[in-house]
Amino acid sequence: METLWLILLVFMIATYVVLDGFDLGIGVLHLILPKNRSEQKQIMQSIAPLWDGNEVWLIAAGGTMMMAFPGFMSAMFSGFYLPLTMVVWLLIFRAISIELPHFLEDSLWVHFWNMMLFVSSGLLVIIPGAAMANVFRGVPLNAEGDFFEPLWTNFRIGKQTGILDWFTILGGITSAVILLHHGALWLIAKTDGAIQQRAQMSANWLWGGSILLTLIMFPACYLVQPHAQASISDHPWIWILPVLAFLALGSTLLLRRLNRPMFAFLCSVGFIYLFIFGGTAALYPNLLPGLNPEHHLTIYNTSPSPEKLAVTLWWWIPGITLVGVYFTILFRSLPKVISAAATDDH
Amino acid sequence: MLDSLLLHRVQFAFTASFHYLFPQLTMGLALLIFILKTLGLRGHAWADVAARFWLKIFGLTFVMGVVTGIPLEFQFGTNWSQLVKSTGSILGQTLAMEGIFAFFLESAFLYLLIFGEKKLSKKLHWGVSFLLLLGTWLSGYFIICTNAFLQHPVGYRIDENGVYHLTSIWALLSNPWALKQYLHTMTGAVITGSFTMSSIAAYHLLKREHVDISRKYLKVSVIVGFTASLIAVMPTGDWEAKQVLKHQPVKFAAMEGHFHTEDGAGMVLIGQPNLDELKIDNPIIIPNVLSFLTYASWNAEVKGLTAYDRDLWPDNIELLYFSYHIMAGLGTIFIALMGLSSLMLFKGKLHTTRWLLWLLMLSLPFPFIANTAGWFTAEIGRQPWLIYGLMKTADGASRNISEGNVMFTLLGFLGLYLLLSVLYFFLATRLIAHGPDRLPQVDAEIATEEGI
Repeated sequence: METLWLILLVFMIATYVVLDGFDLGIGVLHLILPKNRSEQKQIMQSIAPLWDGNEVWLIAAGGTMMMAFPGFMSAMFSGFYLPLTMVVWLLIFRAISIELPHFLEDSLWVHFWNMMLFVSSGLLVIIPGAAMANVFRGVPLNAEGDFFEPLWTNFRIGKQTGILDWFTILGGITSAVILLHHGALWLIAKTDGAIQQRAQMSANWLWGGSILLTLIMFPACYLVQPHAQASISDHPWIWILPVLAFLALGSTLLLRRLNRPMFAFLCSVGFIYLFIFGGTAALYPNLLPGLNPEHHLTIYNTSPSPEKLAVTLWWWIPGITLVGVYFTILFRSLPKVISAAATDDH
Repeated sequence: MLDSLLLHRVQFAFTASFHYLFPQLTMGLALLIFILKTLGLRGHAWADVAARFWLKIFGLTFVMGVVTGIPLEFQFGTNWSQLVKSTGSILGQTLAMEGIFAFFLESAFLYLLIFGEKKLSKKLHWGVSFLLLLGTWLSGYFIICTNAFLQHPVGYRIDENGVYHLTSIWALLSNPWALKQYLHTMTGAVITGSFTMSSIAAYHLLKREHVDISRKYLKVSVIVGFTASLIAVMPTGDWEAKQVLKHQPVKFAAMEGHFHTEDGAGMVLIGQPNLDELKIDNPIIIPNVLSFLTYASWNAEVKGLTAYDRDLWPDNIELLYFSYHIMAGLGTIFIALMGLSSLMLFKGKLHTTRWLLWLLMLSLPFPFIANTAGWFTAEIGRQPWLIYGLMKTADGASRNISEGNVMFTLLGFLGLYLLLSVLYFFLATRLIAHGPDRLPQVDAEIATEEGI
């Protein structure tokens, strides 16, 4: 039962990364790609109705985490106190930067919020990778399952870890490039004209970057976490996940060349899912490894009542099915392609 | 010197109180917009125009509610990690339900409501306004359920390690405390929504702008406001007071400023609690009324604060007492103001009675104050307990975070929320100044309905 909830929780977190990932990526790209205000509006319209629903996955994942693995949430959130509070601030800035510009048609006002959106999205695309790298590397948990990490120490991995070290920074850069690529793929699928062309060009570069960083990231993960090495040698099937992930990322380029942009985007979705599930499989059954292996937080010692988790499925499954219905209605209500000319009624 | 427990409390109290300024308005407006859309569906074109105007204000307020709500879920984990560690599997149920059943509904359908009017049929658009109402009200229910577990825990067992296990999800969701508190809180939200609407209508009428349409929706908001103000006192306020008396008698005595046990206790209307001498300074007390309201008997005995162990007294009795009296006092004023407005409406004179319009316009902030005071009463009154009778607040806070870190984030939230207030105020006043759109056919329709 704990394993099932781990899969469900990771599914929710990964869905959050997949969905908010493209709108965060676009939050960065919207300042780089367009040449005029109407192109910028065209870009923003491809995410404006969606960002809020996308972000709800984060909130729902938080609730699910608290319900299924309260010991994990308690350790994570209090241990990463400062970075998480700053994430909250960035999410606030990002949300108002998307929603407030069209209340006032003033160029300075619009420009200010665009800059804010660029900065907050830019930091927020780095964070999922850095956060996952922190969890993967492990933290200095004590016997009570608590820890507190400074933001950084000497950027090396050793007894005195900081939230930022070479591995987590690498993770952050990797997630930034992957999510920008992800955002560019969404734009290619949802826009036309000059913006689509420029998104194609940036996607070429970002694709190369994603491939390169993924190639560095896989062996780095293997090196950093001894548990992962043991786990992979015990269960060699885990290799399938990174290999499939790599194939999915590779095929986004092929599908773009074949002029199937929506399929390319979906491959990128698959890539992110496989990447995150690969990391989870390598850590299993740990949720948050300690630097001292005796203090690992596992799915068993952070979850209080497996029998209740089974009962919870009775409302959880219909609930998520409903969410699927809402998202289908919402995504279908959007125009297939957003043209620069059609941006005036927003 | 400030300790980190106090900083955790202040930070959560501040972010939660600031957050609740927005959802109380959106939950109230969701109902009013639904009423307007229903009138629109029945052929009143003005109601659709009014709904569109109020949706703009709803949209802006909703954004503020969303962004200030995110920190609260995070803070359970960041600031109250010991609470999460022991009770997360229970509190997480209702919080996860809120995300899954309510937030997704709201976020998906708000977009369709705001941008879908041209694309959807009239009936579908009305249906979307209903779904939004459902989403916002469900969201409120799940939050009240979470709070109700802290006020009146049900459906749990505690194991030998002090970890709480859920024994019945049904008990958690049908917590009698939650049902009563929900009804009282939601009537409070409807009061905020209707007072805001009548205040803006009064503003436009006083300025002689958008007169026809403002008259129309002023009528809706005054009727809804009067009904909600009555319900807030009787029966929901009465239920709420009685359940506090039954389950949290110390809170009840402190709220009322009732220090000493007596038969035929009087109700304190005005006065300042004096904790050194355990009495009320400058009191105006109506004799025997407290006994009557609590036990329906003029001479019943009502226990005072001194009947309880001093360790169990809330740590800020003055603030608790004033919060409760501000809430109750404002509630009485709301009934009087809306009652008078309804009377004038009935006589057909409301929109020309300028002094009353002035009062309605200036009353805008008071429901917000009353609702905040209500939450202060509920939460300060629960002290020193985090989970009433089971877990002290001091045992629920995170242990591994230094004072400096909490101080840093508290200052950060203060600054950020100050910025949000300025932005909200600036944008909301612009929307209000712009007013509802003018449509010639609507003016004509209003003219025919009025028989001009």
